[in-house]
Amino acid sequence: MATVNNRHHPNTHAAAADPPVTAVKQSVSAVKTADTQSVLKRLQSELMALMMSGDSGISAFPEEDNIFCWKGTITGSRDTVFEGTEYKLSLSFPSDYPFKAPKVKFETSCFHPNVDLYGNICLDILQDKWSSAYDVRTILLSIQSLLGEPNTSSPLNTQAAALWGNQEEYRKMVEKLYKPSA
Amino acid sequence: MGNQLGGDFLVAGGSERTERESFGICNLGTRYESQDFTWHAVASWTWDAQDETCGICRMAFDGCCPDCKLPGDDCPLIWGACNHAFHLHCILKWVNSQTPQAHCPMCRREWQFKG
Amino acid sequence: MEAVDDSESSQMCNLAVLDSLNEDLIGEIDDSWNGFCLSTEALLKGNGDLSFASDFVKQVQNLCSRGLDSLVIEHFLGSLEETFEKNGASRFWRHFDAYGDLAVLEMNDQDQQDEIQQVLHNALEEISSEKQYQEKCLSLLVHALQTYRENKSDGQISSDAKCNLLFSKYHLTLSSVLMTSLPRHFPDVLHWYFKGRLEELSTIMATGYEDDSALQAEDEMDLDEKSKLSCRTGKMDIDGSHLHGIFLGNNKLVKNIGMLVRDLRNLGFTSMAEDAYASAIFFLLKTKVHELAGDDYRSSVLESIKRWIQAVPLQFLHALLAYLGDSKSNGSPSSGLKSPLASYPSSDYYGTGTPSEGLVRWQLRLEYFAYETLQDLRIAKLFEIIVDYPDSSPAIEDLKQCLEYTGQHSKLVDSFISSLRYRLLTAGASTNDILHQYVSTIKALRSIDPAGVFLEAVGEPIREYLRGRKDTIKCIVTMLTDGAGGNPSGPGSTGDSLLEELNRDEENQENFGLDDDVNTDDKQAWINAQSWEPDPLEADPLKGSRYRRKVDILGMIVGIIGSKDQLINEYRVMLAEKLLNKSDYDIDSEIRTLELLKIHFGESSMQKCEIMLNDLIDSKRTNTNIKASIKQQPQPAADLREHEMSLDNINATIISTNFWPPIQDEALNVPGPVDQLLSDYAKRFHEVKTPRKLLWKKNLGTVKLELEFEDRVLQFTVTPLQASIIMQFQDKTSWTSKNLASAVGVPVDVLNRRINFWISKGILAESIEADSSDHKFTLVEALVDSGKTAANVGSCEELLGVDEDGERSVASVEDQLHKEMTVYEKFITGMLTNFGSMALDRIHNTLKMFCIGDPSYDKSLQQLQSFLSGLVTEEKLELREGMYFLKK
Repeated sequence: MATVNNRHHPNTHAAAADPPVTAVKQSVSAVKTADTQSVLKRLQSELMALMMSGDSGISAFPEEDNIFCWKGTITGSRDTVFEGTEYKLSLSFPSDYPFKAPKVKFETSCFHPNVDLYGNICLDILQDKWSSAYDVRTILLSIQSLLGEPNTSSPLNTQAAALWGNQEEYRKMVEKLYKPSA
Repeated sequence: MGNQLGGDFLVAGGSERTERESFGICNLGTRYESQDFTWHAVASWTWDAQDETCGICRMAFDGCCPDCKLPGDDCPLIWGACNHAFHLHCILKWVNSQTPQAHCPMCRREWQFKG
Repeated sequence: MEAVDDSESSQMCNLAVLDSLNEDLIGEIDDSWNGFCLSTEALLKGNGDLSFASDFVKQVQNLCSRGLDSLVIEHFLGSLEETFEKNGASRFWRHFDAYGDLAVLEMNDQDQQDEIQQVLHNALEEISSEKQYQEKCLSLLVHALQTYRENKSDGQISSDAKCNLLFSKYHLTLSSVLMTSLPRHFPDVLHWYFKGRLEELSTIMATGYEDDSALQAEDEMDLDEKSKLSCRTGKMDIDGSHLHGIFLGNNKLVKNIGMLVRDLRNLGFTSMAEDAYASAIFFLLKTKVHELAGDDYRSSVLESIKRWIQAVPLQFLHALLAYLGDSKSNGSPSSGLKSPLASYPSSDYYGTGTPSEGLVRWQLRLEYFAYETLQDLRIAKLFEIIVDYPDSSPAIEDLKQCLEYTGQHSKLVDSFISSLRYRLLTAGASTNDILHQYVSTIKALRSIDPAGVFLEAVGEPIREYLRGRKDTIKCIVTMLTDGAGGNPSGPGSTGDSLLEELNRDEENQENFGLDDDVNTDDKQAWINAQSWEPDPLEADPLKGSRYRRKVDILGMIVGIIGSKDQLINEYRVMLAEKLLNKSDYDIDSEIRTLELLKIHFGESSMQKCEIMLNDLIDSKRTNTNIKASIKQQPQPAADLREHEMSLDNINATIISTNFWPPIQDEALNVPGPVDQLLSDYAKRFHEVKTPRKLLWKKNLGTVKLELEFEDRVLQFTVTPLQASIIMQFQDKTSWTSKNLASAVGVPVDVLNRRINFWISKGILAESIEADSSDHKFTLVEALVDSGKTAANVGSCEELLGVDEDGERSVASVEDQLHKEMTVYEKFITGMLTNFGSMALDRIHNTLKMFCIGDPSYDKSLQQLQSFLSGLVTEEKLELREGMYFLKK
């Protein structure tokens, strides 16, 4: 129930005041369609902005026919151990985006203290520090900078966190494990 | 009407048609009076927010939020105590989605509507 | 000599008979034969003298008794042929020697006509009497043979058949003699004869024909009478023909013609005669069609042509057939014998009330010919007819009926396309004219072709041509939305936009369910249109119009451009231009147009235009509120004078920039006092609409100005720049262009261009300074001798000079095109970065899917392909095995 409530905040006041179960369900779906429109609009404008921004080293584009699922690409910044590597990401947007953060994962395996073996990323702005002011572009930029500046205090990949201190060895490990997509 | 416009410099009836020489040299001879005019001007309106677009919906402030059809009066802006502006409809959604306490999406300060 | 042989066949050579011959007998036979030959000769040359008859009969019977009947017949027929050749045929043809030269026939004067008629009648009379005489002789022989056989008492049954055989053999011989000696010009003589007679008849009928229509009108009043009549005439409607049948039946002319035809038939010229009068009838019909149709497209002629067919040629044929039918039943010499050449259907049913089969066939032939003739005539002039549309719709309706009958639609398509190429799709024709002709073509042809099958073919060359013109979109939008529509001569449009007209049409046509295919899924409709295939031949066009496609004029217009988005975009640009130049907030007609566009293109497509119009409505309200707020505030007494020129002089259009096309914002220093007023106005706005603010676009708008000179007042409506320029001359009557430009805040070249307005009005004079290239402008006070504006005393409303040098306050569509291409390139780079490689159609689909903002992607696959190859050439992309890659 809590999640349902979260989903349809803006218009639920009336429904929440007197919530027979069916009525709630109906209002949820009604709100959802109305919201989908605005999510679409926001994602479209993000796409347009991202395409026009011309940031180097980050890119993303919606998959085939679903604007809620994007493929992203990040290249390792210069002067970091990730220089010259390119990582694919997947971004999936919830239907109440941007009021909830998108789910972002590495698709290419990435040897990094804050990325686990399944590609999950530990990044505050994608969790509790999410703000609707963030967008695909800022997310990708944050992840790009996370590559060079990991938070080794609460690592998902302890091996990587331990090795971080030795940048030379780390670079070798990155190169060894790097499997660029075709 | 219009007298004021030329009040200081319109000397009524100061024409001396015979002295054509004077035309180019000084403004003795020929004058006209702008008796009346209607100036239909064009302007654009703006909310005068610091940013171009709303941080929540990414739509222009001077446009409207995704849920509205008409900009302006129908889709007003609202400022927070932190001086960040959003479409009213957008920030309401954001505030309602953040429990128990909402922060400003831009600066993370506790969200308060500007009084 | 046994009768058995005889009855079998006398031609058989019986050698046994020869054995039984003795000298006496041979001598007897020889005498008999000689006598027979002599009497035959005497008989045939006897010129009606039958005194040799009895002798002849005796000899014949004598010879027959010797079994020589076949020899007798053969000799007699041979003699007949010989005599006919000499006395009949050659003499007959000699009559026509004078007409060997066709030119003589074609002179076509009355005397000539009369002469031919006379000669033909004489010749036929002569040869007929010769033939009659010969037939009489032949009957003598037949009679002789018959008597002989009767005496022999058996073989009777076959003898009648033999007689008939004899006559038909004779007729065959006759016609073959004539045919072999036929002079080449004889058919022409016949043709001209019939032509002359029919023309004569036609004139006679013309009077009767008028009586007839009066008569028909009476019939229609008397329904009982009418129904009786139609009962009698049966399924085919040739009522009135009976009346005329009687009339014509007694007509001497028809009788003469009938006699002639009968004589010709008797001579074996049945089909030649028919050909001759048929060709004369068709010739006459063709002339009639041309005469009736002419170059008048504003009335239907098909019915009068049909009536004429009923009244003249069918009447004639009716009478002729009747005459021939009568003569047949009267038992004329030839009646019992059907010539092998006679292809003419007998009019057995004539007189029973049902038209004969032959007449029905004639009617069908004549009508088909008339339809085809009229159709060809109309097709050849289709271009003019369409120019004249809708006044020419009667001609179109005729053409439609003709084509339904003949099915020769492809003729129309080919001919019309070539006249379009030759007459319309040329550099000399204005885009407006071409568009109007295109629309008229659609309107005109859709009644002929409700499924739009042929329209598709005819329209394509026009569309293709228009796509090559730069102003096409603009003209289309104007035509669609503007009442005047650039069609000043078009009688059909009375200040109505095409859109308005289309809408009315639709409302009239569609009372059943809403068919909003344009509305909901025009993309699909466009795809359908592209994959068009001809309708099956058996498709019923009447059904088709309802169940399948119907001709969608708007769709076909959008089809010129290729996408509705481009059209809407152009409309928005033009709308912006129009709205920014309004000084009265009156947008009723724009609202109406927008509503219509929404119906056709969908509400969401027109969203921005809607906001633009809403801005005007809001502006009007805000403007009033701001003025009202001043009045409420008490004015300080000292300020009274100050506010003599007050905010009442200012009105404003306040726009929501984001929804307007890019607007060219140029700097301009308006005169100080005006500037002050504008700031006041903006301040008021801020108060009324806190926290919103106004940003003036000072170069835009219109200024109504009244210039008062000592002896006259002149009124102008000008741009703010022009107003600012002239107002500078209030405190200083002479300016150099440099100083004036900096005072007004525009570049010198702009000033020099815009100041021309005042120079052309005779308000300012231009002179060139001696020391520099600087121009100098001086207020012209005295206009008396210039004559230019002498008549301007009083009021003179001048039109806005905005478009003078093609300057627009709104960025053109072309400017936006460049922007679009940049956006597409970024999108393509974006998708290739994340997906590696993509095929053409996937890129196309992805752009369609996601590039939907401003600008949205609306290009065709071909356009995309050429755009991509451009990027490949620029080495931004690579193309390998049909896949595009980013060039790294």
